[in-house]
Amino acid sequence: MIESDSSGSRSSRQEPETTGRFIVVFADSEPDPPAFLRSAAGLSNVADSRDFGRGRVDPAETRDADATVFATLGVAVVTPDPQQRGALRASSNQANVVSVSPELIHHVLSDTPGGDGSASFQDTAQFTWGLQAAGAAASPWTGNGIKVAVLDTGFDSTHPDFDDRQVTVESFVAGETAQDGHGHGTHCVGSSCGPRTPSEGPGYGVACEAEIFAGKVLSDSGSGSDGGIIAGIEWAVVNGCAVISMSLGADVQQVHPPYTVIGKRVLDQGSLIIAAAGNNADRRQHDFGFVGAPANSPFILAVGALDQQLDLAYFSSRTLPVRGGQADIAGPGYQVYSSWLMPDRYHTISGTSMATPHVAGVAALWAEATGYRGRELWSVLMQESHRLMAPSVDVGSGLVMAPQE
Amino acid sequence: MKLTVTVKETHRSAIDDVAGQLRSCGMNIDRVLGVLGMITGSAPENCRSALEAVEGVAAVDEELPYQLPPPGSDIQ
Repeated sequence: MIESDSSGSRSSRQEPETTGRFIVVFADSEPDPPAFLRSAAGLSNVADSRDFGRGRVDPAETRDADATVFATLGVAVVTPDPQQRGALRASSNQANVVSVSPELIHHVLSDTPGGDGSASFQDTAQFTWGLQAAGAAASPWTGNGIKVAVLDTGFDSTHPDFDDRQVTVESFVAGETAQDGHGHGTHCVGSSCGPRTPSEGPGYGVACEAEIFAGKVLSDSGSGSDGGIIAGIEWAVVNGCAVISMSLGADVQQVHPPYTVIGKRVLDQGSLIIAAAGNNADRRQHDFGFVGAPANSPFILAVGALDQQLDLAYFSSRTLPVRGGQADIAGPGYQVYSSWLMPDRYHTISGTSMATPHVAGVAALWAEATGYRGRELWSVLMQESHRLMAPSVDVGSGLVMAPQE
Repeated sequence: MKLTVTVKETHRSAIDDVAGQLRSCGMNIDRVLGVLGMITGSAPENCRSALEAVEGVAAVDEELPYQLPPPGSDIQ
């Protein structure tokens, strides 16, 4: 492969600045790059990094060389005359050369890149703003074959948008069925796994073909405790859920030890817990809050909330400065439209509780698209998220993004 | 008080034995969670050090409470 050849010119802003030299990348199968350069391109004066010892090549000593080979990297910097350049170009088609590219001039990055501030999403007739922003509206992946657990206030099993869906429910709250008597759980099931093409209104669910496991770990009055939550996590893992969404938390500044062990053991078994960072900030009053438990555990992925401009929501909690206490990623969490208890059917609310199921749904799409589970699934969510100008202590790796074609 | 007991890695396969020992030390067990290696339940406060001393127990932690805002709240 040969890339554009604008040797030695300082070109327009769109064209990269080049030095006139070339970078040759050798295939792993090439045993002797210096010998190859001599024979294939006719370069006589070839410096070899191995001759310098300990890996440091002195630029002053290689200034007059036609080529300097960095053996450990399998890379050479070459200064060809026109005839040699032609020979190099021809050699780029050989199996032992990966690429021949013009050497670029690099500059210190003085200005912060990006951040044009132009992002502005809104609900349309087709999709909620959150599905658009996270790339779920356009994703060909649906979560088909992936089991997603939502541990919350249960689920309204009478909701017509889920008539054709496989939903398994279980209650871990003494004296209550899994039927949602609050609304929060039904809303979170909707954002993570609801429909993209409901019979009325915009699509609002990310993993619209995932298999749903709705565990009730918070009562109809919204309260719960570790015993029920941990039992719900066990139930989700036993049932093979790749993703466990937990829009719940306690505003405590300490890591709660059981969740450190649980998060790790869950990852070991190929599942991933995604939890809300918390709503204990009020940035309008310069109060940044802190990520609470269990999201502040090292092996639980903590989710902050963004608004339609991809700015941080004013209530979204900042990283707690302890191991594991970071906000890991961010999702749509402001004015989120999703399913609610019948007969209301739909409701629009805000919170890191709403951002969390968006991330959980996107995790299910990645699980389907890549086959990744556990730590690999965590990693791909981080790697593929859309970077934001906001501080990493607030948004982690940025806006969660769904896999595309 | 309500408790969560973390079972050591080395004793996860013997979690039922650990649960039996906790019971004999005064813990009222709600659930033995074999996949996670956790045991939940309750015990009088003065039993805590005895529970922590049971072989195979990594940690004994008091339960945290969790509370959502009411359904009508704009921020959840």
